[in-house]
Amino acid sequence: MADMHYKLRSNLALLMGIILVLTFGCRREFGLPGVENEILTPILSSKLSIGEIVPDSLQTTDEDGFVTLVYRNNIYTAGLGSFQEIETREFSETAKLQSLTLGAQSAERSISLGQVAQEMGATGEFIISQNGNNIPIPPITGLTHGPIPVDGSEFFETVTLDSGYMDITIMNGFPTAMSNVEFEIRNESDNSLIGSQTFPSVAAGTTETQTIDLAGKTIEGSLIGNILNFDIDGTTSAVLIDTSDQVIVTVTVRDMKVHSATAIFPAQNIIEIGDTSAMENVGDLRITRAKARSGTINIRVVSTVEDTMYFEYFVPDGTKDGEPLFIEEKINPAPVGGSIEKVFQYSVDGYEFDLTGQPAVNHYNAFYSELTSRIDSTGRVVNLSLEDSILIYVQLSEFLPEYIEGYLGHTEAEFGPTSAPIDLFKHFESGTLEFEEVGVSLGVSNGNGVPFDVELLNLSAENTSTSNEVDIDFSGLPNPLSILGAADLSTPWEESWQLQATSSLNNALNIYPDQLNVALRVVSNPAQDSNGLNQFAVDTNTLDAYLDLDIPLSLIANDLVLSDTLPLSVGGIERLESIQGGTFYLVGKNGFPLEAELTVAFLSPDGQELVVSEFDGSMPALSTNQQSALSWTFDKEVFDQIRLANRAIVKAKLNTLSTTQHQRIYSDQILDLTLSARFLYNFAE
Amino acid sequence: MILLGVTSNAQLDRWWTHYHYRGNPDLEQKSIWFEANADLSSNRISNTITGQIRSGGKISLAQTAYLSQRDPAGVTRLGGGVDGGMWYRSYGSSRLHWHVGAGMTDRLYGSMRTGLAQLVLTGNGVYEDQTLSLGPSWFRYLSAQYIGGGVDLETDGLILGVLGKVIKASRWHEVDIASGSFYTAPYGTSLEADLTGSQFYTSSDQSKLSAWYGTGGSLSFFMINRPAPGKMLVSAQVQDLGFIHFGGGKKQDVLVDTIFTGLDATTLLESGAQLNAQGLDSIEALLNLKSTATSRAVFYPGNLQLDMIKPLGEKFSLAFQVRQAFVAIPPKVRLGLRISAGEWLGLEPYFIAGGLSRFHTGFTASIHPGSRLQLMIAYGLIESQIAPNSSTTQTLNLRLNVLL
Repeated sequence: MADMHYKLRSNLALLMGIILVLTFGCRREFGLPGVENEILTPILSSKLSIGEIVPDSLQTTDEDGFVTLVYRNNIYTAGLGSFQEIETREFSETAKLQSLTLGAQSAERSISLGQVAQEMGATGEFIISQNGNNIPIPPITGLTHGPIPVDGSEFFETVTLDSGYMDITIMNGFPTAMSNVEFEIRNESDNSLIGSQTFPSVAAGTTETQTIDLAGKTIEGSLIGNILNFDIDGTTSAVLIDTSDQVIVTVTVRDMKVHSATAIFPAQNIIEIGDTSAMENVGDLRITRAKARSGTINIRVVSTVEDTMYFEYFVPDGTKDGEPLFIEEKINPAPVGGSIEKVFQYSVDGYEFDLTGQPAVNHYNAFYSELTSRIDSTGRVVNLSLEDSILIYVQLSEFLPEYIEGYLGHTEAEFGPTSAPIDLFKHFESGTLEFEEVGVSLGVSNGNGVPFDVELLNLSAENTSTSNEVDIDFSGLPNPLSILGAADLSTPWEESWQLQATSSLNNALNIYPDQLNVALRVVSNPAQDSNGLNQFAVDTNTLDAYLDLDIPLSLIANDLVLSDTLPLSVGGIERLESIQGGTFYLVGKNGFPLEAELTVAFLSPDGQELVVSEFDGSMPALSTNQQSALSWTFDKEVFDQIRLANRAIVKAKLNTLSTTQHQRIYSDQILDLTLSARFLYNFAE
Repeated sequence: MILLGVTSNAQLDRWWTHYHYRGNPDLEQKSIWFEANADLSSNRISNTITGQIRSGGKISLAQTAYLSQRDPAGVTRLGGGVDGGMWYRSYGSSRLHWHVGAGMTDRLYGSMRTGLAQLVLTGNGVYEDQTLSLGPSWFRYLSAQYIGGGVDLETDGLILGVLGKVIKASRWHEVDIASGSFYTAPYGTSLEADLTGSQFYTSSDQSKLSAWYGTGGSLSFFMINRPAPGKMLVSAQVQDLGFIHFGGGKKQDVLVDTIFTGLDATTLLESGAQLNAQGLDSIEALLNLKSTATSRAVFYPGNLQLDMIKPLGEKFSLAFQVRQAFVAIPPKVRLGLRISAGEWLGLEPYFIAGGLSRFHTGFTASIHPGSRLQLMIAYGLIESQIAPNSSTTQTLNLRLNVLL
């Protein structure tokens, strides 16, 4: 189009340019005189063969150049109903703190021989006085020591345990054995007893350990140990007295299963689950694999845990570009005594999911995923309770597949009566047209790997303008039509069936139908063999039914009127207002065996007919050796009406040379036609 | 410096006009010469048409219809404009006499193939199945002012002189079409056009009086014999040999070669496009104009003029003039017969052939009451008034010579 504009403008510009350059040019400052000009110029030209009138895709030509119209009209197109929204059920997991643990913690305290001697009275003073000497130590009973502070507040403030143990270890560094060592440990704050143990004997230089069961007990970070009694066994021979010799008491808390705690928790997983969830809204579909056109994974977390929670959602068989679906998120600590809730949504567009479950053993419609939730070691003391919980809900929703595999369901549906537009005769307005021969076949193309039965219920051609409707006889066709599945996504299954009903087809075409009416029943998986899971479908592939028309252009036309409406805008052309009148010419040579009488009606924007051309004659048929010129003289008033038009209806009344013998159209027949005009211009000053 | 005008350097005509209309060859007095001229001349374009051009009126098809009978390959010349000036000549005891003067000119002239004039004035509609020649054609337009001076030496038998001018050009526009043709097929089913040309022009932003786009100079030489009473006076002039240099202007080269057969309806059918021609793009782009800013010097196309005056007794005097411009325009010949109508009045019918015109007639009245004043009115509008459609030239010329 741009090229056409350029040519038109070039032509006008040439004339204008010469005039301007030579008239204006030398007189750039003189007033221009008005000039009456008679401009003769081409407007439209064409060399139309059937190749230009009918696109190549709609025609075939035999070796003699005889042309056959080939026209395909779609009457039914449908994708699979399988491509509907499906979902998984929402699955949830509640995690309690019993799965929490605390790491083993230890505290160590020591008692020197000097400290003990100070509590032994005169004997003790003697022993102290012999520091550095070798003397025998006499037996001494009923000694006590304490309280001994044990500080574990670095690791926890308080913890109530479902289970756990406290190990009391005594390493005797005195030069004499000890016996009947009674040890107890208490919470410092309320002096409540945690536990006590008695060591019957601890030989000199040895270590002994006793264990206290902490199940159901509450321990604090600040503990008090008391040695309620211990006896010095004494020695029979002299031993070196060193008042700095020590008894070391080590308190170790281990294997704690927490009921509640205010503690520093180590990093640990709280939830570790794998879940296979059934797809919902799938009817009788058995889907083994699906690729998501769209979909969302929704994760909702409710937590009363006063610590940051981390979780990972992993779908090992849901991949995109080779990468599995993996989501990492965290939720902030819940407020004290409260909870926190957060919702996360993730698009799964483009992900392809294996829906055979985990492990894949003849499963379908099964969606497997893994969820892991954990807390991290932050080094901070936090308060956790058995009453705390974390609830995680996971759901795959609004899942719309673009590709699926499996068994794609049995459905039955009737369509229509519905209409499919046919534009082959859209320019035919009136008159009669008789084709010598018309061939029609019904074709079906199935792009998916699913079998169908198609039962044709009704087929007719209709001209909605005239309300004429003609049934097309399809009784010769098998009914229903058995449609097999495509071999693969790029190789549709195709088949066509020729209709042997020439007379009804001629009748149908001769009403110049603008639509085909069709009603049919379509059944997918008519055998209902749901054990076969090797079907496939993609949402871009469809089941198509169409009519193929083969019309050899051998015809008889009797006052056949073709019309077409062209947008028209001449307002942008400069100086048209200067046109005072003139003559339009239709000049050409007609190689077709059709006599053509042409009229052009110019319409206003509101559809009013402004002007109708009045060419003086018709273009004779088969006049390739003689140029014919039709003329239409117009005045300014008429042309001003044309200038107002924004549409033009071009009509051609066609008559074949014979009304009894069919005339054949060949590819080398040409209508060489030019529309030109002689404009009487009155260029104003 | 007045290019091709009737009164170009007419002050040098003071000797022969004094002799021709008054019968006296001597101008032994100081004098001031005034001149004013307006003319439109052509060999093809009728006075009716040029009158419309001059007045900015409308040229009708009826007025241009006769052009279709002319040979498109012929040459149509067109020129016209206005100019004027004033010159003082000293006179004393010395044989050398000084000239000082000033003036202006505003003038268009050119020569084109008649086909171009036909295309412009009538359009191509009446030239169906004909080829119109568009070139070679050329046009010049100049608007300039000048001051000048000179000297003449008067001997017993001759007056020899030289004049110089300094010229300020306020407008210049030249168009040259080297070649071109335009063919219109029967019923206008196709148009074929080719055109090769160029133009150079100065700006027109400032008023002519203040604009100074070019500077130049010219020299004129003249020689006049001093005949005895009743003998032939011969005046020879070489006028305005010089140049103007334009410091800046715009040069555009045009190259058009096209065959137009209308919009392609096949494309219309295929694309379903609408017939929608928008406004014309710039003429420059569509004519394939190549524009460059440049400066250039322009030679002055001067004239060679020869006048011969032969008194025929007391009552009559015959004037013959031939002028050849140094451009591609035929020589112009003027023949006039003065008839004395009394002491103070001379009447002269004249006839001009060649130049921009084919032929032209007019009537001159010389009114010279007393010895100091001579007013000459050359009235060349008779043809345009009597037969404007068939005549092609109209002139009006006033000259006043005051002897001090």
